[in-house]
Amino acid sequence: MHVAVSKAKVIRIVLVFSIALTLTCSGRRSSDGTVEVTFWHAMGGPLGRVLDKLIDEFNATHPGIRVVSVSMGRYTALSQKIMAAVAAGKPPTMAQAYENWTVELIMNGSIVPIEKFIEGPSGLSAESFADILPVFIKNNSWDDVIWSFPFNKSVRALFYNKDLFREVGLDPDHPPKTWQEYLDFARRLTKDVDGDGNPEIWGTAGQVNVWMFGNLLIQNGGSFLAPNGEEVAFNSPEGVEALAFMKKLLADSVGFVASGFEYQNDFLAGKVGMMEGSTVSLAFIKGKYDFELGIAPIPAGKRPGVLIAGTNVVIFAKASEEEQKAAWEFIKWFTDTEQTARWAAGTFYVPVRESAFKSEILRKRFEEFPGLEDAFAQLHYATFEPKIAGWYAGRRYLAERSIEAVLRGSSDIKEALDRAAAKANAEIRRLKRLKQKLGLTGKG
Amino acid sequence: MILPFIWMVSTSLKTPQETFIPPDFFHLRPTWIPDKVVFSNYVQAWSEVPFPRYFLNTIFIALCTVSGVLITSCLAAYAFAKFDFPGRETLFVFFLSMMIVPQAVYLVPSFIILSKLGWVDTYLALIVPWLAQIFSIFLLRQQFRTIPNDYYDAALIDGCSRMGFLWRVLVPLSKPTLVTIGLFSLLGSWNTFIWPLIMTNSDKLRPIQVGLSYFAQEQGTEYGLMMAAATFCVAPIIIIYFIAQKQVIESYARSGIKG
Amino acid sequence: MTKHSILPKTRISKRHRELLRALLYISPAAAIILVFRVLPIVAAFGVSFYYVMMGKIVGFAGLSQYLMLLSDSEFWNALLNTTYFVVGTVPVSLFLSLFIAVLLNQKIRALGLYRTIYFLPVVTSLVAVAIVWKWIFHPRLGLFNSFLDAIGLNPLMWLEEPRGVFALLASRMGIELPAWMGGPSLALVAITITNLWRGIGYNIVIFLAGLQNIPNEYYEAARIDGANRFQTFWRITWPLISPTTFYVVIMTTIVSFQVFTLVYLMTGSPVGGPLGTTKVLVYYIFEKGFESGGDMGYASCVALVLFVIVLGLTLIQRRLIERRVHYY
Repeated sequence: MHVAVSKAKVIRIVLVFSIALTLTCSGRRSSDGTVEVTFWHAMGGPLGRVLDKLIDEFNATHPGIRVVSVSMGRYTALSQKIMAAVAAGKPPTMAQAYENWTVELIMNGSIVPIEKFIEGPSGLSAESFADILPVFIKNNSWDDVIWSFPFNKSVRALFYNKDLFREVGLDPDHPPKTWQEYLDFARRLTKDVDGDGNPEIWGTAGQVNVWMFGNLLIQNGGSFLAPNGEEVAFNSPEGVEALAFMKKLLADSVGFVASGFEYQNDFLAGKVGMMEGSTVSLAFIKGKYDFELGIAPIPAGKRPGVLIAGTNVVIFAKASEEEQKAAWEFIKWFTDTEQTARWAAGTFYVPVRESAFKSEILRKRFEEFPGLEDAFAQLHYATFEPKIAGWYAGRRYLAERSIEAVLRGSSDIKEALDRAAAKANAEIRRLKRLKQKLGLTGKG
Repeated sequence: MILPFIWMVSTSLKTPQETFIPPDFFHLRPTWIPDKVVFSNYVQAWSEVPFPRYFLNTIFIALCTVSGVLITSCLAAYAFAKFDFPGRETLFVFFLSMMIVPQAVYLVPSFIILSKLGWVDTYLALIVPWLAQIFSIFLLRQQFRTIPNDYYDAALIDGCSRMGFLWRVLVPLSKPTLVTIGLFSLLGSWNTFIWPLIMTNSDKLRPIQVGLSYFAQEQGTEYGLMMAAATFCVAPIIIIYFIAQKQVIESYARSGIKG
Repeated sequence: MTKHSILPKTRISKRHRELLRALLYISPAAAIILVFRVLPIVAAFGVSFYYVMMGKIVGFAGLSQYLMLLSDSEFWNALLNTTYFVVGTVPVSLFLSLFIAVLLNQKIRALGLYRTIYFLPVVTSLVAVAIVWKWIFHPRLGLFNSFLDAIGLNPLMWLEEPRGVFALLASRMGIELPAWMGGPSLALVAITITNLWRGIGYNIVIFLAGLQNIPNEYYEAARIDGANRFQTFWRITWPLISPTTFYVVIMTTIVSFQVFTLVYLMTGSPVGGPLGTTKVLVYYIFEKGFESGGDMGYASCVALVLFVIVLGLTLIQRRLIERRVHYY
């Protein structure tokens, strides 16, 4: 008995150690010499399927490189895993990242600037580089260095129910183009049939969302950051007006705010006349509605304006030279005209190159979904949210303390915005001080 | 008290349209008993996400954990209860004090340690840290101490080995406590959420609770599906519970007396 | 079957042999505990003195992160929410579970059935509980509001309601309370209710065990002396279950201070509930450490402060209550 027990114990210990050993020792190079590129992303569902198909194709046509796709399902999980991996010193080769994660990854020295590869031997020619939409280049540059590369980007679009439009006498081919029309149309679409104070059909619906506020802000002539780029300016009079308008749309009598994506379900059920969403929403709502769907650019304020969304990709410094180069090959291929057009056609993310707009597969999509092309065309005047260190937390304050508060009934809009601005500025200042004190420029 | 359970099952049997009807509390139909009873929610939920895999993962993890806890607790409790060595009480109190520390404190660093070991996203991260439980050692030590030392001394004189005494005398006499420890460990493993949430990414290893939470978050407004998933996730534990109620409840009760 | 000790009998004293043997037996458990409990706790303490960005240490902070805590309004908000939760949970749970346990203690026949039913939520996973109760609290389609509707009351927004319960009650009576007096938000109260439903069975079972330990002679004596039910309870039951009460209060406090899963799953998006009113301490730690910049150094600071608070409360409760505990 004595012997039997310790044997079992010994076997267990040996097993544990051997498993641990094989796991820790498995290098990134498999036995046949191919370079392995681990790619962490958050594309799930229909988006993940399109991505995986493209990755399989890349692997098949690029012997010697194997991209391993790991989906974390959602962005919060992705950022957690990235952080944890960085903490443990075992990051993947490349990953999707928002700009405000990227700036911190730059500061802590975890990533290499992609510019190195763009200008390297297997880089992009001058005309190829010029083909990339300028907004994306600016979006991925810090201090004039391109650190990341656009991967899955989108713009905001207005989706509307043409049948409901017709029912209330609105021209289904004339979506709202100004703030005034937006509000008017919403009013006309809202119907309270039984007069119980609860409309059966709403003009519009949405969620607590910095993106929507941001669009309104820039359309109204405001901006997130002050000209010096060191503090926020969304609590300007333009910001107050923008938030007030958002409140009129979503928290007055013509629209409502829902948690998560419930408002989308209501739109699909024909209970909401218009809704805003990423162009990617189309991938999720496709085939789930039985009315005529209208797609349009979002209405303009004093001027048209839209912020891009989505993520870029970064390459981690811990990866070996070979792995980094292989990752770049994948990125280069994925964002080439043909593939970026296919990606856009499959997921309704926007293509990253101008030339992709002319590709056959994308043109077919435009025909299939009238209005989509106009929505995509917003890219030509699109801009982006701040990407300074501290905006990660800053935008959260904006969402929680201002937007949510106002949409839930708070009436002092200026005060709500000021509160968020104060906290955001404090965080920006803190990280700036840290950066200076510790010399965190990423180049070391 | 059990209304929520009834509501859960009732919703799981409803068609999506029926779940969207505002319920009428005192009307049996259609609120509590659906007009149209469907089992499709169960079928859909079960196949939409790899729940069978999640179940297998959970069972595997639970089995490993329970056996591990039983073995390590027996060995350690035996030493603390019967052996006489310098520093015994100090070491024991040190272990006990680790119990008070909130999980929030060691969650992040554990993650970093597991990452450095390369165990993140492997079964190792989900099993190994739980192979020893301080509370179990505590309970078992208390139990072992109730067996008089005279037996121990006599057995040794008769030529019984120390290991032999443990397995052939103490363990058979301590069945209720071992059942308690086994049950706690099983329940803990089945219901665990935060740890696997943070320590694993991939679908392949995901245990039930994490799978259920992702499923629910992704379903949006498909309440029927969510309730169906919740039902079959709690069903196994409830079945075990009803079979072994006395043991389960008494285990919990026993653990609370004389802390 | 005689087995010789695997350790040599000569040169090593018996005491040392015993020590080595003990260490051998304890080693499997000790290895696990050391690597996965002690080491992380020490590491948490260590990392709290460093600046961490997106998971990587970028510099030494000394005590400055602890100082930052003092002026961190989000931390104080999280602490406030957690305190509301604990204050809402502990006395209510104590009172209800004791009350029910006392009642059940008299009906010996159906005792088993009731005990089983009350305890059922305790073995149900928190995830399932959160999902089901989130559905129960749905403002339009949920069970709770249908109940309110059926008895003629207005439906409530529950998990989406950021206004405090005191403010809500006051506004029913036409009074406008200032913001700071609003009390815990209805959303937080909804989570408290869920938590109570789930945990009460445990306390009931503990109390029942304690009650059953009271020898009948005491009750007999009280009956003979002509004491009524109320007096019996106060003079006999209450003092004699004080060790149990003590245990229940401490355990419930420690556990409820660490509430996380319910908040994470019930107040989904944005997490932290309506206007951050359900953002509790452990959630704040999780958010700081795993989201929002990966500041694991600061997260560890908050976690250690949480530990100190819990430890402090436990010690205070021990001093206050233990004096009143009657051991017999």
